[in-house]
Amino acid sequence: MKPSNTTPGSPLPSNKKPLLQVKDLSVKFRTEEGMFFAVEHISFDLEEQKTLAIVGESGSGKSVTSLAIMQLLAENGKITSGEIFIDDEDILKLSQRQVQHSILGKKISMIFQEPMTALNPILKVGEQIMETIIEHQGASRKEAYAIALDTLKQVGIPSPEQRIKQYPHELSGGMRQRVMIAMGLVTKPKIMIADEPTTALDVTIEAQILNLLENLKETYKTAILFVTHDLNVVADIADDVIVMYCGEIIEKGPVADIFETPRHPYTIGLLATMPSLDNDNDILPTIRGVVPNITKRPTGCYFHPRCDHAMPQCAQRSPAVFQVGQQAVKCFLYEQDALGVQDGPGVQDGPGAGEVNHG
Amino acid sequence: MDKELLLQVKNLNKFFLLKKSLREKNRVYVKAVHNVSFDVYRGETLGIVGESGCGKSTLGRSILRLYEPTSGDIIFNNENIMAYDATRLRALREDMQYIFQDPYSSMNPKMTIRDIIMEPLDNFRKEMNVKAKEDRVAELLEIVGLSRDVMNRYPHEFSGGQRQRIVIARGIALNPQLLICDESVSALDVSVQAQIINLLQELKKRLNLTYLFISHDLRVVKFISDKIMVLYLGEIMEIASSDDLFAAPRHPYTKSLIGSISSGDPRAKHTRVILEGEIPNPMNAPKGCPFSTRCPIATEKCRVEKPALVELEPDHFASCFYV
Repeated sequence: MKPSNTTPGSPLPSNKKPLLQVKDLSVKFRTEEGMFFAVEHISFDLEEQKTLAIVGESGSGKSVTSLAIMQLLAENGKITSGEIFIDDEDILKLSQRQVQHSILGKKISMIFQEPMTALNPILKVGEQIMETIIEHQGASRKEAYAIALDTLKQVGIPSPEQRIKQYPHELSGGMRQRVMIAMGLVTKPKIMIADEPTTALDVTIEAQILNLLENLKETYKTAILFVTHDLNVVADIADDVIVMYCGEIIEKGPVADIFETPRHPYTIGLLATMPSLDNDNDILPTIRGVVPNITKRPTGCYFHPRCDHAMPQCAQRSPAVFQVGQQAVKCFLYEQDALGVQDGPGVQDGPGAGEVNHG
Repeated sequence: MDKELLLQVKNLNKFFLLKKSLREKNRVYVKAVHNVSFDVYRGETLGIVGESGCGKSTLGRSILRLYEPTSGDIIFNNENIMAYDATRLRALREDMQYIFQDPYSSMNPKMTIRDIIMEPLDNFRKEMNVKAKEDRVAELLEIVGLSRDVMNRYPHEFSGGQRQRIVIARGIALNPQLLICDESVSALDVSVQAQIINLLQELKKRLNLTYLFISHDLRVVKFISDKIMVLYLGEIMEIASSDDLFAAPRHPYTKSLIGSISSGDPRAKHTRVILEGEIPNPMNAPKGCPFSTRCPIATEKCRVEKPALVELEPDHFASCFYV
């Protein structure tokens, strides 16, 4: 394995050690029609105090990736290959007990999209936060209460002394999301995974929550893995971006590069289809067709049936990952102008050049 | 070209009674739509934006009288439909159609696509024979970009975008004049959303439709609308042409709303305007300006007195004392 700072996973070579390293991760799901890849040979690094956004449409595997890291996959999902390093420790090699005891909640925590389903409806919010503190820090109830109250203050909940005694249904959507964030924060994790944390919220509340996450990142020096379908949110908060399609990473790079010069035809299409505020045309550019079902993925590059630049080879084999500037692109169009073609065992993003690998 | 007035809404109110009482003063209402007036011209798209609980869906449904308005007038094609009886109201359904957000729940899962799209024809085109109706269904499917071969399939066999196309086909089956689209593209992935937006744009031209386009997504509304109405707690804050509203918003709420959306440009980070606080519970709506609890420039006057909707310049209205 090459050192991480030369892989496409970290577009900006740096000496900082990644807090979270995902290497060659694959997840398969069992369906009535067999086993299929939900996530296929993906690799990326998340560095200290960085925000890495995973963006994709439904079925892209973005949420499965985060659930796999948290080991919260549904029963029919299974990690079939790969390593997940947190602080140099491959958490896939640890026992479930060890993971639950020393990793989840402690080093890494997760904020979900729908706080109403993620919070326990019959427990007061204070109790839920205190439970985490008592479990992980062995604090007394009194200490836990003080910490919970303080955390609620930090996430901007007004009159926390009253809110701490309320049930989730008594809070608004924005407040519930703040409670979720507070729960994720109390153990001061180094990594936070936020899975569509603002998707269910109104736009003014979304702005508040994004602002809060930014501030907390500064205060707690947390790294954030931000999973979203919303490119506008990505533009606002991410340092680096991963674009996923059909379970694969098809492009990654620093956010400014991805938005300024997207390379993969899918990324280009995705950015163009967003209605922008200064677009006065009548018709939006579109990507034709739809995301294929997990059971019916095409051969070769998964995107080729929808791609305007598809070449004969695109239907035959899966492209390797090519480094173009600071971006890594999984597309044959960049075979020629790539700075350095990555092939052989060094390829961490795909099944390897020339080899077709399907579930 | 002379503009032809298609829909005029005057002082429309829709209150939901929350607490019954024999005494009027003890009753508790939620004023979901409060004193709303606006005009829509034929061929125009009026975007209705606002956050959850602002009354945008209630307004859409009240215009169709799916919810019975508490008071006010709805003048459609020069006729006040508030005076319509059940028979005439039913006939009106031909001209006004509603497209719901969720294509998953607005289709009967046990009906074939053919039957779903044919239903309005069965109800309103009794003179058509089955062959003619089937031809019409095939034509509608082609108009919305689907093949006629899908007729015998069921809703669950389709993706979200395709289902939305089917719902649209059903919505235009009777050649309506007004289509109310309630968050019609909100549940879709961005690449599919663009396809459906384009379809709506194309249909508008082809069938000379007028849209009320309800959405919480300001970008989509900006793109699709000629005119935009901003609602907050059931009241109109501002109405203006789409370009004016974004170029020169006048109401503090519109300003914060536009300011709170991302620029979509990573280089312009941290430029979001953060509007503090949350939408008050509609049950305890502020007495004066509904926005006064969150407004950065609110004064004592705003808290006790409701500002009127004033025309600041031609076709640009806002309700604020300080514009």
